[in-house]
Amino acid sequence: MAKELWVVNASETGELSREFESLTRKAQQLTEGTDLKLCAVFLGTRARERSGCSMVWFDKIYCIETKEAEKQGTAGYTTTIEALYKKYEPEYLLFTTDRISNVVSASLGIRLRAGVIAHSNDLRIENGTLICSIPTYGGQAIGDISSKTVPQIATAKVPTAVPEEREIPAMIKIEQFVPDEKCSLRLKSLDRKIDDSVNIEGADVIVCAGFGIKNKENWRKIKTLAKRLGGEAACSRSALRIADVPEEQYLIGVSGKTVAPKAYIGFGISGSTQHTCGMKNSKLVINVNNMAENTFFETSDYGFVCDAGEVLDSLLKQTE
Amino acid sequence: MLRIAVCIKPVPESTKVSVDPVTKLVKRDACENIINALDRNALELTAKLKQTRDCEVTIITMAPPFAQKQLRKALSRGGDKAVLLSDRAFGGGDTFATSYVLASAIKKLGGFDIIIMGDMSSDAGTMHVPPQVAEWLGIDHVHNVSSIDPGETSVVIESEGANTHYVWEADYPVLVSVNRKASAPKAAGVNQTVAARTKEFITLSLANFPEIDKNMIGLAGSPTQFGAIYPIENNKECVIVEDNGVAVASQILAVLEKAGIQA
Repeated sequence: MAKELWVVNASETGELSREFESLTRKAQQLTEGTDLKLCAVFLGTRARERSGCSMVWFDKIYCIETKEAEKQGTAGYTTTIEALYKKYEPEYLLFTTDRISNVVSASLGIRLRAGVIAHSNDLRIENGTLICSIPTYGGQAIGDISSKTVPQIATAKVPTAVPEEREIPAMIKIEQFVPDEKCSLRLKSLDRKIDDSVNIEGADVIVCAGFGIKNKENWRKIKTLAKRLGGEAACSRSALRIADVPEEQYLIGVSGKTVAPKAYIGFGISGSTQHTCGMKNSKLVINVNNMAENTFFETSDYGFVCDAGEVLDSLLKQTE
Repeated sequence: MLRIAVCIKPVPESTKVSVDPVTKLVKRDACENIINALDRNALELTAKLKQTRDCEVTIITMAPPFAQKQLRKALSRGGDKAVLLSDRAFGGGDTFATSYVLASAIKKLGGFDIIIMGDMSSDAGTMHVPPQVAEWLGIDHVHNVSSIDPGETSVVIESEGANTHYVWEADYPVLVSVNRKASAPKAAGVNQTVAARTKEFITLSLANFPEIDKNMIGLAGSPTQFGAIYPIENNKECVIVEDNGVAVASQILAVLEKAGIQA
């Protein structure tokens, strides 16, 4: 039986994220010219819809449509993928870097006694070993990391790319949800807040706040400026606390969104790899920082050494 | 009485850390260390609970001996006793090996109703350790938690998802990993800092854990391993301008206009 490489998508929504599409493209490259079968696992509500719209990308799709998974937190997702693993024994399991995928992959690692590599920027397979590139401590360098256990599990956020379509569509296998019998969690209520006004992944212009914006007043200015430029405001991880906004919508970086706008304007961004890997495909990068030795200048087309608040005030005045 | 364990991680204060070229591990004692930001939220959440509930709080960390300082600090924020898991054999562990030692200690100390951790660390940021500790212990885990309300036999937990707010009820014991909405950290007062000096402080090494599988700890027991490390290559040639706010703003707008973007 041919070995399999799985791209796992555990999600409560129907839409396929740009991050999942990019990971799929990377997985296509990893399996091209090998005897590895490229498979997808769709688990959660509207899994069939996701299977249907991506069947031209894969050799095989395991589809588990269920409304039950979410009711057990992450335990139901983990137990179902564990059961599916034991049934088909794939060689590699790749996940996106959203929170559910992070928790599920980490839990799965313990259950299968396997290493899990988090937040890879890039992936390659050498002599059967999955080698992941990740930002190392402090984001000052990139390190190769691999796992000596089977299966090889990684979460990855790779540069934006579109999957290639195949002539023969994937075979879709319907599988069953396996609840976690030991799980004591009872879902008492669930409140979905849909905020369509924030779409940083699709924005042409992104004005991004870093730790250097210092205060919430500057974040308000960034939001106003983004609106005037027809774009969206976003944050690096260290600015989330200052801006006091939900990371699921505003965070750019390895554990947040991947963006590729026409123009990215950063204010007070330190330039750690954790952030830059989420925005390095931006066409034009402008960087405002009062630290002349700021490493983010190395990723920028234009670097302005000046106080972020001062520049924001002037920009708002000049765009009135 | 509610028994709570809070796991904390000392992390480098700055992003400028040095990496040992041979072991490829961060030199943890070569820089100033602080308690990981989200672990401070976990501590504050616990301190708040202590004001209204009868509870005993144990602070646990696995780290080199320098972490005594961070543990004392955590004791000043409401901890009753501290446990330092320190042994050369634990060093260099990935999340698999680290979570295994933490879970072994939690099991050994025994009887905790709630285990609280920060959702992620500011240095490695994998988000793996909380769910992995829960897996080793075979207990439930809720991530991205913003509040907990412990009752007699169960606890109500509020957590966040992608645009979703969840309310759960869980039986004890349970592990929760908190986000930054969970109680903003506060600095300890002088009295609390003084009181922390005399609180119970336990150090445990590998010798205290005869049951531990030595093949699953430390660098050698970690299933994931570092290979080559290389500097980040950026091939952009950046035009750097140092000027006042007004001039910089005009230049930014000019650059944007050239790229077809206008306010």
